[in-house]
Amino acid sequence: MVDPATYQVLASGFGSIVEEMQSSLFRTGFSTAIRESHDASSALLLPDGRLLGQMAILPTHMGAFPACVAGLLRRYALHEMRPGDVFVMNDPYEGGSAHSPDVAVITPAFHGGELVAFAATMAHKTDLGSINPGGGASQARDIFQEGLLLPPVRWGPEIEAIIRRNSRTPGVVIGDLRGQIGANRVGAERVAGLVHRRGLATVREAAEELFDRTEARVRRAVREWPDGCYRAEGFLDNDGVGREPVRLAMELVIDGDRICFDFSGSDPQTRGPVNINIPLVRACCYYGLVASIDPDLPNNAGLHRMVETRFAPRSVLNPEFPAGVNVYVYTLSLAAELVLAVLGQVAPDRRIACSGSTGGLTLAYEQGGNTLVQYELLGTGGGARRGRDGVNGIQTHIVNCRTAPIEIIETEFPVRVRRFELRTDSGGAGRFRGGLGYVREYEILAESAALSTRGDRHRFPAWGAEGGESGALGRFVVNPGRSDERVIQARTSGVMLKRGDVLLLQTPGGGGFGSPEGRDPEMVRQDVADGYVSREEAVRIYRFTER
Amino acid sequence: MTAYRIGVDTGGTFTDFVAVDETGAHVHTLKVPSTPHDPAIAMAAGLRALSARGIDPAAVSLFSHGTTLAANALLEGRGAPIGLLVTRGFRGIYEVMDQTRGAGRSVYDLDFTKPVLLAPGRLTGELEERVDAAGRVLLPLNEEQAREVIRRLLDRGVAAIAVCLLFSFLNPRHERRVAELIRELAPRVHISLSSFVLPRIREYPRLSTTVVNAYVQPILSDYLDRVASHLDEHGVRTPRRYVMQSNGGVTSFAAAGRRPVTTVLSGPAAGAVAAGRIAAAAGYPQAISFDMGGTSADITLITGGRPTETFEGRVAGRDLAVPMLDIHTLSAGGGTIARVDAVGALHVGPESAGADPGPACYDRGGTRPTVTDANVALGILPSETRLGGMLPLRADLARRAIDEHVARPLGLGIEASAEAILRVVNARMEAGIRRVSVERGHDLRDFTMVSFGGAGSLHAAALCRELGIPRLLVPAYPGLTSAFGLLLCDVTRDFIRSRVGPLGPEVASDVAEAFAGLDAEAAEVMRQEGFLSWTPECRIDLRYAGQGYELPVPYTRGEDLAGVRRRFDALHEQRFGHSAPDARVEIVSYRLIAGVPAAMPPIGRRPPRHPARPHAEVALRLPEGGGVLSVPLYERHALALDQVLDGPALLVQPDTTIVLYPGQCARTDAAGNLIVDVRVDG
Repeated sequence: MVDPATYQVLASGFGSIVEEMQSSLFRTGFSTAIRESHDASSALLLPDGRLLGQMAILPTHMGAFPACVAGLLRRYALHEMRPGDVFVMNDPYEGGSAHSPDVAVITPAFHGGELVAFAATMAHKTDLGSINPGGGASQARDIFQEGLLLPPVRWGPEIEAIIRRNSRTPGVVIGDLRGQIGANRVGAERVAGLVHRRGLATVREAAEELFDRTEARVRRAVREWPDGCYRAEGFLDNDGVGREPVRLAMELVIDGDRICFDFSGSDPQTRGPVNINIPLVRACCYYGLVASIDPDLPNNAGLHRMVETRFAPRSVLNPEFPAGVNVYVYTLSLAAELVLAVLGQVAPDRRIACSGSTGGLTLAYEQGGNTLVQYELLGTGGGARRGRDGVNGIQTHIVNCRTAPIEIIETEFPVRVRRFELRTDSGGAGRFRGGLGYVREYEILAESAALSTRGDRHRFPAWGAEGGESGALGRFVVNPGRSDERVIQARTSGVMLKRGDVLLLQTPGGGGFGSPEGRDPEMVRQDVADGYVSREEAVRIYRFTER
Repeated sequence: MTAYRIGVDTGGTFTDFVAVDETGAHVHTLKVPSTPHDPAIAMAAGLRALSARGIDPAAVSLFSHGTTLAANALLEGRGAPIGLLVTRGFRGIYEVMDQTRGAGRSVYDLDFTKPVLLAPGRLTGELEERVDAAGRVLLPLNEEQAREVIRRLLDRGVAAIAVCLLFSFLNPRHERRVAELIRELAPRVHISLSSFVLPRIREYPRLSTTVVNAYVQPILSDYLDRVASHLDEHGVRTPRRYVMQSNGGVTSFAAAGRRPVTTVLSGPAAGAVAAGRIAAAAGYPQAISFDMGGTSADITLITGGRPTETFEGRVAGRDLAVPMLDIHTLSAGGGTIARVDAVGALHVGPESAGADPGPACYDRGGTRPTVTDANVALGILPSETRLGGMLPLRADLARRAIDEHVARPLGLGIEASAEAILRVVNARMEAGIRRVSVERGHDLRDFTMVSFGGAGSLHAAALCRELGIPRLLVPAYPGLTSAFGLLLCDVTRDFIRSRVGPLGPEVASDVAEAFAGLDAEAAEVMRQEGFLSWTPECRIDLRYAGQGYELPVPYTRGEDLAGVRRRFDALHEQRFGHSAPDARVEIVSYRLIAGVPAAMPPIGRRPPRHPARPHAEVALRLPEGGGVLSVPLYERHALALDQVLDGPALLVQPDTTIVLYPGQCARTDAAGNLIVDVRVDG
């Protein structure tokens, strides 16, 4: 066994390497996706693909990295890899990418000729040639419409040439890829340095111990939970192609220190691109467990091996190639809400109402023979908790990306932002109010722009908990209040806008917690004063009276 | 009559005074208990005490002050009630912030909340106006509506108003007009304009910084007014009265009062500046400043004798984007607590026992083991030493705390547990040092560590050994380095002009013109503040076309821009692991830093002529040092010039204890610095 001091020294060493890779990635990114929205992750993995540490920014990617390394090892043997090698991949079925815009770069780290670890980064790319500019293929019928697919391949001039030729924004994509390669190089060097200072045997032993301790912590928590079978279900608005809602269902079984998430009651795979692969669904389970047990719990292989999952074949959470996966985020968010809903039954002190839905916006402009891609990620209202209102205007649970600065958007793209404010009355009423969604409104200044949107909960609102009410539905409208007003779906693509068109995005609110009758009148008064709840609604729901 | 410079560093427990004559030969030091409810009281007491020692107030030639008042107001939420004015329709900028849950633990925390708004919705007003991305006015300011909104805020009793309008960094006209309207309605309300506080693109960091400025402004400017009247009453006549800023320079009381946000991260800045000056004067311009006190360790990379800078920070959850020294602060000090968690892992920090009750060995009621207790249990801090000349240390209490909270849960002996505590805290500090150095592409073999603060030199030798830093420098007054630093800081003012464009030979004249404009602006401001001459230092912020963040690159007037380009590629490669010499590079902004040198040699202490002998032999154990060692104990200030001392040894002085490991050897230089040869390979 590694002594406690050495163990702690190495555990913090892995963590700080990943953090350094991450900051290098953000600072050198070319696309607003990376440099402004921070839609990117880094990780360190053992040669067998077990996760050593990930920068805890985007829980979504937690399941993705091990699957990427597994995919890499199916094509290349460890002994074929050389110092200086870099591998890239984005194939959701051959690697771990959630969808093809998320390109993973994996760099083996060597010490004394031996491959000791992998440094890995994953970052969203502005365009890899899908049916819609900017990769927002919200209505793709199969994965071939979602853009270039790269199985795990060795990076080199040939691959770079292929990528350049398949992107509408080659400069930005290659710039971002170079940033990933640079961050990986830094990570690989640091791991080699750590091995050099501490010795390979010690590092390996410390890693195993890190896993064992994490596993022991999870096992202990699970044992304390009451045995039983817990169920939850929820619906996506639709799959982007048809109109039918998509149902996810899960059953959590706790039996002593065993825990199994069974998703096999979920719908078959969909025609539209809302399917997701198993590694991503497992990431939701990891997220839920860390959040429910202890937010300080490291997210590594020790946790991962405790989690048992079950899926039906050819289902929305276990699709078969070439089913589309482009708009996976909302399916994944719903899966995470279900995980939290069942864990909230098991551990009522961690119960949280459902959050609204985050969203995405891509506007592509043609300008002087180039394509400009404006890519934004939207916040929503968080679910209320026992003792706390939900968070206003936030990226929830498995996603955690920044808002794009208005001054950057207007400087770089032919668009004007007309409004950015919280959405009054969008939070579900309750003793603790659901978080508010927000409003963003744009005016197109270019001759034309191709719009795609992503989101959910324009049809099924975020549910409340313990008597709290549901949050407001989301709503996207073109030219609101004008004669040519039209409401567009949460997930749409290829909508052509012209100069002067106005796009209004209203994101959904979070569910409330506890009966509204129990809300402290002082909190109601402040909500009215701050514009979070309108006077009329305050009177109607909370019997608000002016003092 | 001898002219003296006075430095006053207000800390949480003590206010340190140093008075040094213009030659640096005569040094007075003084500690006065701080008076947190009104720091000016301790200030007045100290000034009286200095007079009693014969320092004539009329002969004070410079007064320099470090204060954490603004930082504490922010941390403790004691700022003023403020209002916020934004462009109509854009209240979301503040309320949404960056819409994330940050990084690390908070991402998984179901109880996550955003920091409470300093100006909540009910104190936020929206103005009818709009400027576009080219700086053109799209919608003129509606002054009637603005007056109405301002009146509404004033009715609610705000003491300060922050104004942050879209694109005001390009066109500040509307913000300036709003300030005039506020002044007409309420001449005494403090005003913070984002175009003045931080004229930079990206509305949220600019707004957040401006709001913090407004929040701490009434407190800091009132306080500086009181300090000024104390100085006047006391008979101090010099107009050279300065306040420490986060960027490592000092500024006038008036300028600090207008932009108090620049002082929020100034706490550890003076120490880092002093470390750089002391190391450079000793011949070591590449250094790591390592300042370890009771609750934290502050680590700063120094190149060319100067601490490195950054432009982003966060205090108490508030995003700030002002120039500041790039100081990496860790919760690792003497009072940091060790604990064993539920799965049997040993953690040191972030909790601290602080000054009260303090470590268990202080015998003031603390029962949980701290880093100081571990040092005492191993004999590295001999129990006969008295910290700060005041406290006796109780080794039995230290051992008992370690036994109960670490040794028994881990099933280890007390000594082994104490060693483990030191190794874990040292590992955290090593990671912190790597982060500012190796991780930015620097080779630590080229560096000297400067250790100070009460606890720094207990750990420095072990850190140097582990990190491969070949040399350690301990200044003559390690406990007062920050206070002396106040006298060494140059007066600095940053001037910036944002103008995005390509970098290439064709823009040489634009570059010259931009700096000429900044020269004129600097001349006006510096003359206003009473300076006749200053050194202008130029930097150009560059990025690869398409990137969103810039790297400041030094620029010499008239130099070939191709050289600037090569320097940028090299810096990018060093910092981020890649460069693109074939890609287009853009200029984002021009920066001119006007500096008035402090013209003060670093303060040292002339060593005595006769070599010192050991005072005593003490028994101690060093982490990874292989059992009990018997080592000589020296009085540090008794060491003679160039007297060579071989480790292991322990050196004590009133404000710190210095450890030398076996194989290390130390000598004292003419300025009284202890220079330790770490012999990494030995």
